[in-house]
Amino acid sequence: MTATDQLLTVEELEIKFGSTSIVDRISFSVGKGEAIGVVGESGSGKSMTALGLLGLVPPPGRLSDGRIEFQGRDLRQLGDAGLRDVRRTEIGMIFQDASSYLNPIMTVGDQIAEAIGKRKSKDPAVRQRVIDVLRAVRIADPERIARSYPYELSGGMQQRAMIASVLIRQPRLIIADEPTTALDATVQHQILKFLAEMRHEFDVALILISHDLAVISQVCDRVYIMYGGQLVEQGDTASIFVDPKHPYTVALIGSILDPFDPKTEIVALEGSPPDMRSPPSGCRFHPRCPHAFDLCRQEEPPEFAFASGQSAKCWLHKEGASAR
Amino acid sequence: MSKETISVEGAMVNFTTRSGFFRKSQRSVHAVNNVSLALHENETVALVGESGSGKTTLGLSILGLRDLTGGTIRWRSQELARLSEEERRAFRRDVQVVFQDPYASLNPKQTISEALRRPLRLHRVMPPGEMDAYIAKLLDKVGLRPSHVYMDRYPHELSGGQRQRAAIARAIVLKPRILVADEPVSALDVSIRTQILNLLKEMKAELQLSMLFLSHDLGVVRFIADRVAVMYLGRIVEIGPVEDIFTRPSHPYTRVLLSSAPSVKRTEQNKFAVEVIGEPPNPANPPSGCHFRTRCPFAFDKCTTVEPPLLVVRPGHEAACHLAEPEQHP
Repeated sequence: MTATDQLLTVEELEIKFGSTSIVDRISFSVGKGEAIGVVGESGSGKSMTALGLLGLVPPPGRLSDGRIEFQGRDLRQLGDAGLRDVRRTEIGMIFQDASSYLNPIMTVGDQIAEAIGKRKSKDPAVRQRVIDVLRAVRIADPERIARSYPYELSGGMQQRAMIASVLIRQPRLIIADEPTTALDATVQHQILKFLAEMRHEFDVALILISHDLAVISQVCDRVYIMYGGQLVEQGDTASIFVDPKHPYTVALIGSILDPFDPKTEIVALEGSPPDMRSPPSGCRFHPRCPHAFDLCRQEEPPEFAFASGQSAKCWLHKEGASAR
Repeated sequence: MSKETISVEGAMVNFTTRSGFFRKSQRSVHAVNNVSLALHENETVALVGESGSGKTTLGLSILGLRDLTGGTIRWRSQELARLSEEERRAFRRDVQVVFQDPYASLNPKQTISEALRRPLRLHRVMPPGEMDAYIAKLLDKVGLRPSHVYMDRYPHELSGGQRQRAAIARAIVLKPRILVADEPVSALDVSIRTQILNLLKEMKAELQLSMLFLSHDLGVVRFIADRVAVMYLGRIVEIGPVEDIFTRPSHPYTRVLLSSAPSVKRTEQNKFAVEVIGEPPNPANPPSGCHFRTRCPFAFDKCTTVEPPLLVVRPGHEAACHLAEPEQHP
């Protein structure tokens, strides 16, 4: 991928709460119109990474280091007003819980109009744009939904309304943090399908954050795996499933209980994720890793790159791959 | 087939909701609508359905925590609603529950050993002197090791996975015969989820439990269940052995659920490419005839007027659909 195709490049991003790094120098990139997935368990730093990109890290946390280049500009140099502009026009975010995102005392149509800076949706041109975007998110009767209040809508409809209020601004990048976790299975499927189609229809890139690798695999071209605030593996979705390089990725894939892959036994990953206030020495995964050896306990592994385009932070690849 | 431990016959649970001016208008919601289901010894039955399907209400009724408005539930062939005081105590000992939220299911003011000692004392199952040793053994069994460390911990000092282990210990402390597990792993992280599922499977085998497993996650269901009952708006629409349900689903709703499940192992054979229409209707105002007809791509006239009964499609496998025919459906 050439530099001009890149939409977002993040280098060495670090987010600290006091002296604790909860996001520890991670680097990743998103191409124009690309969908990437960020997978991790609770506390892995995946949501905080997303908030960091938008300058929304809640205090006392702070973005302490790194570079965020978005469409050729360094977002960290923009200042509050500049970042607000980026959030308003270029990068949209959708969350897990639409009911707490939507304003309960405003109609859905008015809220979506407000997203493009119009106070009321009475103006026919604005109204038409609102109706169009509601139709675009596959809402069957957009006129009625535009007049409705959030409490009158089901969870799936609220989620669509929230997506509409982001899409109407025609962003270049949408960050979706567990957008379907609270939804029923059939509705989750509909929303994921829409997110995948939306990329092409609106030419928008997507960062999908989820704990569920199976969900990510349905939408994303590339995957980043996070563990204990670090990126432990990245690569094409297909390559990662065929040949995972990091033992944590292997465990994650092994933990997928697939309805079409009957298992009678499953090997669970023992232990629990690290306490970020005192992360393990060396590789953060070593206390739970079945392959850990002395070096893993002593020294943090660098990122090893592979011919497949994957890279993994694991000492097992000391020989046979190139460190970068 | 082995003996029935719990059998549900034509169970109905109605809720009355009030709405409108001065909440004058009354409406009845059939949360559970004419459900029959038997749980056999040593068997895991999964109840699958979306929110509003009535699976939790049915689970609560089986636990004796929600009275039926019609039909019967039998425990050891005695009617649940007519148990004497003494029988009810035995029932409570026999039938236990694990809930979804391990944060809410343990008393925050009790240490783990207090939480486990209380049922032992109430049911007078052993002399107080033996309790500590028994509790230590139990904690060890559910993976809270070393047990002496966890005995005096409060729930807030445990992680989500450890809390669910403690909740499971609480559920099996009286050596029950029947365990109702309501979405026991949905709130847990992926790597912890498999630990807890393995633990439930182990405990089930060791104590020869019958388990009613409520879940919306089909991957989990395929892993843990022997039989599956699919619920939609208060009714069972399909029930059968787990293999059958996953490989030869008969009801369109089951096929929709299977098509919607996130999967990395989907092939042409198990695509069941059925696109569902819209979202679940309001349970307070379900469609006439077949409840699923408004979202079903195959619905025809009869579906509007006639409620399809559960019919046997192959041995042990029933579906409630006018289109389901014995052994001929794809």
